[in-house]
Amino acid sequence: MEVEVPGGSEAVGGGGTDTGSESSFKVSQVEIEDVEENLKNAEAIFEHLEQLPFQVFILSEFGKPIFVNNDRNEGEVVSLAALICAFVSRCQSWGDSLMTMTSQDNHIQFLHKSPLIFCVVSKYPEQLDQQLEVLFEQICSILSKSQLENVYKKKGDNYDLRKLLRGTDRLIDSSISSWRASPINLVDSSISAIPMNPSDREFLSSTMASSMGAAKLDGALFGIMIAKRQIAAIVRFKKYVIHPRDLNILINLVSDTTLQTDAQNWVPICLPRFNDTGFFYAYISYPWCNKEQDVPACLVLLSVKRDHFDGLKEVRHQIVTKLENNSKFFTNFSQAVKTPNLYQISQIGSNSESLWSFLYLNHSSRQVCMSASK
Amino acid sequence: MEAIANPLYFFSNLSLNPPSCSNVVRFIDVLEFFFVAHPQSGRKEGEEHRRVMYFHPKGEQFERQTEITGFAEAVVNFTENFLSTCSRREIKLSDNEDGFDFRTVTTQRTEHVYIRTEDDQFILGVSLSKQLSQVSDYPLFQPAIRSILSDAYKMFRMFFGTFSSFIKVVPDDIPKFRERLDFFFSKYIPLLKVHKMPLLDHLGGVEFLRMSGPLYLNVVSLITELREEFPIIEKIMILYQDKLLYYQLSKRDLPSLFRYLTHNLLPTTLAPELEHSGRNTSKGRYLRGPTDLTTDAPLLGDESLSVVHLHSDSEDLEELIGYQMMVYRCLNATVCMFVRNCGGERRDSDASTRSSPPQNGIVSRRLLRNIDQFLETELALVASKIGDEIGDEKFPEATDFHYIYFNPSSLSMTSSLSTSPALSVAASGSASKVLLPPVDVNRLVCDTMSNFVSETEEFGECFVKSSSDWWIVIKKVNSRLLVLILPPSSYTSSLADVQSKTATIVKSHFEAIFFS
Repeated sequence: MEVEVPGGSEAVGGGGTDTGSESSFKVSQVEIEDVEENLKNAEAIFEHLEQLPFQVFILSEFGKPIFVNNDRNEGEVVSLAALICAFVSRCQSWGDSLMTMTSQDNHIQFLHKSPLIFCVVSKYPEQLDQQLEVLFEQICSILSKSQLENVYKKKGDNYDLRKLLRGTDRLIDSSISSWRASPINLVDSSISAIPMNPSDREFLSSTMASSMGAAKLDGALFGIMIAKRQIAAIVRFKKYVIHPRDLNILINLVSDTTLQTDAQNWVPICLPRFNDTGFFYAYISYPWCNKEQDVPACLVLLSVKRDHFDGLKEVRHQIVTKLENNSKFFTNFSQAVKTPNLYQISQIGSNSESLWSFLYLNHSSRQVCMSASK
Repeated sequence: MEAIANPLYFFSNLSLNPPSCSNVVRFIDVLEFFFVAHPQSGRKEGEEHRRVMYFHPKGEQFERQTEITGFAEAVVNFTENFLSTCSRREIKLSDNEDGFDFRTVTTQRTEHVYIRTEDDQFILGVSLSKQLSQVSDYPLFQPAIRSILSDAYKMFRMFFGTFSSFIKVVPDDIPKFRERLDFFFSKYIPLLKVHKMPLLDHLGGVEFLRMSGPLYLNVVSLITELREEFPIIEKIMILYQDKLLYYQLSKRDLPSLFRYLTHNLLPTTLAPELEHSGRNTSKGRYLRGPTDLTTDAPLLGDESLSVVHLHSDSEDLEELIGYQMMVYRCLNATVCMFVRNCGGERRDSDASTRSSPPQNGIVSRRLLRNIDQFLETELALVASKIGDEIGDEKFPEATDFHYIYFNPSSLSMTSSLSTSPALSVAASGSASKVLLPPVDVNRLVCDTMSNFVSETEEFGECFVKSSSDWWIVIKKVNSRLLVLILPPSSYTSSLADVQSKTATIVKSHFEAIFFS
């Protein structure tokens, strides 16, 4: 069992704490404020829709809408979907493939991944292609790529995929809204680690590793501790690597509030970068949620075996007990997770007045860390 | 390779490719298609192909022409769905400043740009091949493609008037419209050259000659006297070699006219001048128009002067007025004079839409003769003075960097990377001993401009280092733009080095025109 320690070895210095990294990142997207109050009439709603940073359309390559994140009426959506489909197939007929369109102030990105077509309309051109890839993988995580490809063959061109994706709109929605919150994770398909004391992280990782190792469950490959859409620790078997894109899918899944109870969840999930034809079984629990502690951390244990539920439940019990028993660690950990410190400029050793912010990306681990802005 | 739409282009391009050290590329070498469409004409089912007014390559199948223009029209309408009402208003505003409403489409293999002109009645479209542009070392930069397309339209409009003037009068004029488009674009497109530094085509400025105060005064008084003597001349422009000295015409027409003169008209006249260089070089002459000025025969056929359609002097008027153009050249100096046209060549029906008051007579041989007599001595005087002054600084110290300077209010642009064909040898005022920047640096300059330098901000500064160790410095002061491209060297290893180098360059080369 190998332990990955995200976050490197820098200790997090004291200084101004921040409430959650996402809210403190100033992201250049249109903020939607006081939505309910401002929207008095239909025209205002329309105006508001146009301000939405991302309008997403997902449709089958036969032109049937599958997902839209705006409130256009059904007829309008159907005709727009038909157009999108026509553009894509026209370019295909030219032996080419459509990528983007722009007008004065809009950027439209297309992605054709048979049997689906993705389209996003945005005021900002950055990374739209990546965002659509992420959406495709998001759908794959629910259905797996091979199932997706077979569906239309089996059920015919006019099949309404929404039947199979029922209830997962909110996952796609939250994936889209996360672009706004932490686009940096998408930019280079990277992950960010929640700042913690190195020794605490060491203890957390080794505890997770030893408990998973001791259980000797053949097929239980990964253990991940997630908090605030960031990684606290990952443990994995040496042979296996989990791609940051897949991690982001998991993060998106566990950030779904309907899962966040003290109950345990057993969720089949396809991680397309790992294997887009098969499923993992994710044992998801929030050990300290809804109790008096209310620590927003989530433990995910991934296995390829359907019957590992009880085994992983035991592993989870082991981990939680060990962590809680080390009271010094647990206090620090709760603190770190509840109100994460952002990296400070002073941590990179420069007090230069002209340095406002820094961003660090480790290419091999795909970890990214970003300082609070000055 | 088999994916190229028309294999002939590819082959012809191989044999005629300009040498790689050149800083221009033949547009046709990267071009996939170019079209002019009038969607209104193709509204009827089954007659969609009628919307195609001009299509390049000519051999393209009808079906595909229809498909491509239909695609463009659909893209325009589709993207309309996402335009907010406020930006629609903005577009209307920017329309007046000659910015056309545009769409771009990127596919895996091509880059398309469409612009709409004349109250959205017409769509012009162009597609460049990514593969061909790679072969030609030409970085695709959409704003530049947009400018190239708009320039093509403006150039047509300058010579033939607006598109709608053909359509409006009688529907029967469509064949004639097609014929004119064909006449113009079949020549324009094959001759068009674009810069490997696409920013130059995008900015589209004109190059002024830097001269001393007294000399400038000489030029201005020459023009003033000329206009006093011949009040029939309404607009005027004077060049030395391929650089502008002075102009009195609408700024909206300046870039097109300047480009026509320096890229098309003047290069064709250079060869005969070189041939006859032995004798009588100080004798001025008219380019185009009649060769024999001694008779009083009316100017007809080959001898008639070209008519150009120019904006009126008041900036808010969109109307175009026809002018007869006289181009007189003497000792490297070129004077371009415009006399309001009435009737003349444009007796045809479409001239009636652009009503021009009949107060002025059209240019006659007599007028040409008189102007010739005036300019022969006066212009020769000024031109030789300029020649002396230029000659004194014949070999300015070669720079060890590349630069682009652009002032949007005067449209003045100078660059070590621009050349106008044929004349460049003579006008080597801006020599640089540095190699031309590689294509990735050119691309980086464009990307930096579009991502980090706001078009609307008047001030800004940006330093970028390329992976091949070239430095790009972009400074914007009072809307004036300076782009410095510094080759890799030991003097530019850190940002501080580059900043001090920039300060030195601005001080030594740009102080007069650029306050740091």
